[in-house]
Amino acid sequence: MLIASDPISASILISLVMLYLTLLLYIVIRVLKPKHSESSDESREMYLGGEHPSILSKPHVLQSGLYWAIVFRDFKKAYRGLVEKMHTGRVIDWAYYMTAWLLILLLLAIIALGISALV
Amino acid sequence: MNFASNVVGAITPLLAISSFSIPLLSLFIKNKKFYNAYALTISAIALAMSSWTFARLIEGGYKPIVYKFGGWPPPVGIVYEVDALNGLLGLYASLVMFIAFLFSTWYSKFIDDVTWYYTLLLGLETGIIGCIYTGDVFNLFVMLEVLSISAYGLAAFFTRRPTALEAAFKYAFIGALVTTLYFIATVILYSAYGTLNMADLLGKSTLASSSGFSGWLFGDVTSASLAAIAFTLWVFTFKSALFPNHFWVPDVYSAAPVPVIAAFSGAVEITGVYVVVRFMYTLFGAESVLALNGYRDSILLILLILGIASGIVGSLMMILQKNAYRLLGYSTISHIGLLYMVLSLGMSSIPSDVLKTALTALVYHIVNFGLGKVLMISSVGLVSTPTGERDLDKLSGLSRLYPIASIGITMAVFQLIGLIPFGGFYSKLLMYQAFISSGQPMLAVALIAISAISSLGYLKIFYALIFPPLLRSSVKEREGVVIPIVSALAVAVLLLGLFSPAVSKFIETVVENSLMPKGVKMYYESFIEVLRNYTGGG
Amino acid sequence: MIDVFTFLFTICMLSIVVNLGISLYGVLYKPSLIKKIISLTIFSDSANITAIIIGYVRWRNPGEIAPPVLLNPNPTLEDIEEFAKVAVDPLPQALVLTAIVIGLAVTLFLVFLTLQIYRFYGTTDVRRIAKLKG
Repeated sequence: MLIASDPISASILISLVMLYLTLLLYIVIRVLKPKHSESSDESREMYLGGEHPSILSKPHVLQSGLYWAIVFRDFKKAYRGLVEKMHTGRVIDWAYYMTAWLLILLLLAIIALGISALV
Repeated sequence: MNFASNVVGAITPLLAISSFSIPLLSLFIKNKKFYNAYALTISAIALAMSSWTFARLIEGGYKPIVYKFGGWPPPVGIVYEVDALNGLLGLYASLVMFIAFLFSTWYSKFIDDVTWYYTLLLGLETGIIGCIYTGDVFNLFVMLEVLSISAYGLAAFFTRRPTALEAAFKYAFIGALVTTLYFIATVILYSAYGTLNMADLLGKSTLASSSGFSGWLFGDVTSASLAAIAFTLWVFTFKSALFPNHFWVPDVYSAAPVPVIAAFSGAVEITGVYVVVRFMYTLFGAESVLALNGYRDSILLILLILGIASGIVGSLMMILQKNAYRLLGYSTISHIGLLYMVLSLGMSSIPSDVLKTALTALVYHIVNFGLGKVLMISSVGLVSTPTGERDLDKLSGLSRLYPIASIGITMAVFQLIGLIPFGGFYSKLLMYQAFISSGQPMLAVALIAISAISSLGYLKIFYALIFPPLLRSSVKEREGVVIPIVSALAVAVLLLGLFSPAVSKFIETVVENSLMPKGVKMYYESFIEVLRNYTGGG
Repeated sequence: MIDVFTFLFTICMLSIVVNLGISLYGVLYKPSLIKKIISLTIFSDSANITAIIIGYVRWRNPGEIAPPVLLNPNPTLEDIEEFAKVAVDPLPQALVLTAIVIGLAVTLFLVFLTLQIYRFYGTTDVRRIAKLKG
């Protein structure tokens, strides 16, 4: 087997591989890095795309925009369910899920007892 | 051995008395530093006592230590029974609480009234240690209430902040309901078994065809056990924040004081997990009445499914969060899901050596997750507390002021995701092995998926606090005692990984001597021995 | 044929279970915080009554009801045995005492929380107390 079975040599091996891959990635990025280009006002306006101009003063993307594509595009349905159906912040909405879990436990107990009463 | 048992019995009364004497002391002493030193000393004594107890356990070959309250023998009086698992988790919980108290000495600069804070925090430690050490089902209820009331008070500690009040009410209303439900569960158990002692319950539940203590109408041991375990599981999945009962965690985390958040995720929720393990593996094991018609197997299966759901929901919700502590709350939920996934591998179809690996992974991951989480919370707390902000966007780049916080956050993220030289990787590796060898590769896939999704969430903290340049000039607060806390914890999580063969071997011995059949037998035998000493020796 | 004692006892137990169910519903689904507190006290009182009843019928056959009073001030062994036959189980009562004291503390805390929430939010309707979400 390629990867040694004991955890220490396995971890050393995997660490070396990861180090190698990181180095490779770094070199690739350095080589492919584009030359710094000046940005004109027009290009800046096109970049804005409806955002408030104040975001230009920020030197980096805010963390709330970090996973925009995941939250609003790829898993849109899942997140709508999670936020609007489940984590609404209202105790009454939580209670449905909590009682469902209690009822499952009790129902299983009743089923198990019912089987033993029948047999 | 007798002295050791007295030490076990002395921890909770010491903590409770010193907690309740703080309001009295506050009539005479107004100095904040006194209370810092007082609470820290008490928790250090508790830590010393629990580690001494665990050392005695190892010395005595993991033979459980029994303390009889008031000298009453076990089935009649309340006992504390500390076996290997108890002892290890008690040591771990008191270590986490000690770190929380140490962090509080720094944090107390930012709160006005420190006396009630320490009263409640010492009360919380009383409840946690009591819940972990107790060998009596009803005493568990009392200690659960001590824990819960302190926890509600600490969640509502900032009574001038509406969010804190809201979180506390959401936690306290359902919490009060839940603990009453556990009271009903103990009453049902008592009605059928005529005993409240855990070891006695273990013996009687294993003798399924038991006669002599079956009463009238309530007497049916089987139905009573099934109903009681249904209620108990619901209660302790609420306390440990498993998926459908997890809603209180992010709310409480987003408004509670920072050391309290560390205590919650490091100790309170672990206490819930511990009690579920104790009920499912010691009190109602594979050979007990609970195995009737596959009931035990089916609830373990449901716990497994809920564990996966908890892991996925927790890590998905992490991606969405804006509040740093709310994000950490969802990360706790995701890790609790992993713990439940691995603790529910006790179905009858799974061989016992796989179960041993699984339970080893469980205890190992409890320690890894808890220490990593406390490290993370104390680093983020160092950055966020002086500004009073908890929003990730408003904290951006602030950790550049505190290099130690940057180091701590980095190490904690690596630990919680599970990167190679850290302990988190090795416990997840053990889990992976357990899932693969149980013949369910889908579980291993789920474990990897949960880790991958949650790493996106952790990177958010990384991205918000460490990467961006510092925007506004902020006043830097002196780090003080946080530097030793963060550096010690960072070294600890690294050592947990570097010495992982030794650590996992040690935890395997602990699991073998507590949760596997040999350990359960020892738990019962030391109860019988105490009983025989009493009846024989007068 | 069911005797009267069993019949009454069954009715009593059934009503307690129904009571528990209704108050559980009240705590979880009623929007008003005050009604939640009332439901919670009903819930814990029903639990306490369950415990008391279990202590009452636990050790003996139905029908032999006598007040558990010790007439002899210096009891012999037979007297004590006779007493133990008619006395109720004292342990559930001790449990109930503990539970009542704890319930008092929790209720007080909840009342304080409700008052404070009313001051800040201006309402006790839980559907409108939802600042923390997502």
